[in-house]
Amino acid sequence: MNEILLQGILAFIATVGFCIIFRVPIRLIPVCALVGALAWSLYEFIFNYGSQNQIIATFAAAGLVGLLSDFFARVIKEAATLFIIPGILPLVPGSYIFYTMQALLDNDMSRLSIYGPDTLKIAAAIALGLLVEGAITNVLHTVYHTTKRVTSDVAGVFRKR
Amino acid sequence: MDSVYTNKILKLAVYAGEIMMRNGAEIYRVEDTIIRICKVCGIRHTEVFATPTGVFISIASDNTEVSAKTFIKRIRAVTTDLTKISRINRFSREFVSSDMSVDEAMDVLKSIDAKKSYPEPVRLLGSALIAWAFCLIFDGSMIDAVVAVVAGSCSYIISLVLDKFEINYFIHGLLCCSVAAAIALAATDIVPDTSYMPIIIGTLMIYVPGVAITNSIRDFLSGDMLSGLARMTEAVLTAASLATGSGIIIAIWHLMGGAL
Repeated sequence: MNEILLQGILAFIATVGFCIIFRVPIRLIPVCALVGALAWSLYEFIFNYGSQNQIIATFAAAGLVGLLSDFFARVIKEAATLFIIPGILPLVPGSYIFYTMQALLDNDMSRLSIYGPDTLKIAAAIALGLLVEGAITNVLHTVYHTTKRVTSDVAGVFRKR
Repeated sequence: MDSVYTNKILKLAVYAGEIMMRNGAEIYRVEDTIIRICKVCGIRHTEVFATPTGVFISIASDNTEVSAKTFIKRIRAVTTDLTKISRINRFSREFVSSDMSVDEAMDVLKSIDAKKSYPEPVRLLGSALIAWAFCLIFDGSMIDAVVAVVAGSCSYIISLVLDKFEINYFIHGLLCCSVAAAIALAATDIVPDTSYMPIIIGTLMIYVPGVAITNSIRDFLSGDMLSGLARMTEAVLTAASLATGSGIIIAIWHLMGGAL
């Protein structure tokens, strides 16, 4: 567990770095870094204690980034992109890109056939994580507003009588 | 509605869209902002087509097609400045809800566009933080992380210099990463107990095309396939440039008989 806490802190620092480079407004930097740190901690947790599978871990972490970003976007009234872009960056498979390239240079086809597809799968997992989260949030949002309207309509009808 | 006024609105809307596009907003947000600005100014028909390389707007203030006007803005040199996106987001909300005049709005946009990024030493610190943290995340030792800070800062200085020359993005990524790889390899040779892998990966993370990847996904999600594809290609090419940059240096190191 300590290991995961440490990884979370490191991801927090890294996300602060990304926030500076991408010029997130100063007052939002802690929030963005929190999103990045939580997502990376979830990744590490699933990877170490759950499925031992980077792709599932990335999928879940990307979903969490989307969820937290939508939440903070509503609460702070900012664009969700501001939280998603720095938050998603720790999940981007930088190491896999590097390993793939290295295997390619060494002409090591067996390693290339492991790292190449894995890089693509992780990128796809990020996409799918954001996508699924976005779809679910949209549905929930619509359902919530529809029920609210219907209940207020029904209440209105009763009040008139 | 006279044509001078519609021209002003058109310019305002295009300018807002241009700033957002140049600083890394998604297509959906750009188009939505432009349509909202035109609508609140009383334009009947607005049609927007935004791509990462250009924004096209047609507006017509009444039902006759004679009055239709089109404005095309070509967009080059994309950077990422999330403060500007946040500001414009707030501006468009304010513009819609208050009775700000078009001229005033134009001034606000100009002041947003003129805002400079964080000073360069601060951004250097940011890149050092990224290299340090990622080096440790990828199982580097503390000594590796210190080397990564040096490599990250040096390559970011190169990156800032290259930005001034507006150099091609592929060469940009390639040069930055080869500098980082060269420092990492030299350091492993000189300093004992270091390994070059976490150092290079840590530095590489500074330039990873995260914005392009995220935005391309969000564009696909909202049905803007053209922009999604464009940004996906940008991401793949940037990643390839980073990999090639560090790869070339490692290959040269091998040729020169350096130990790995």
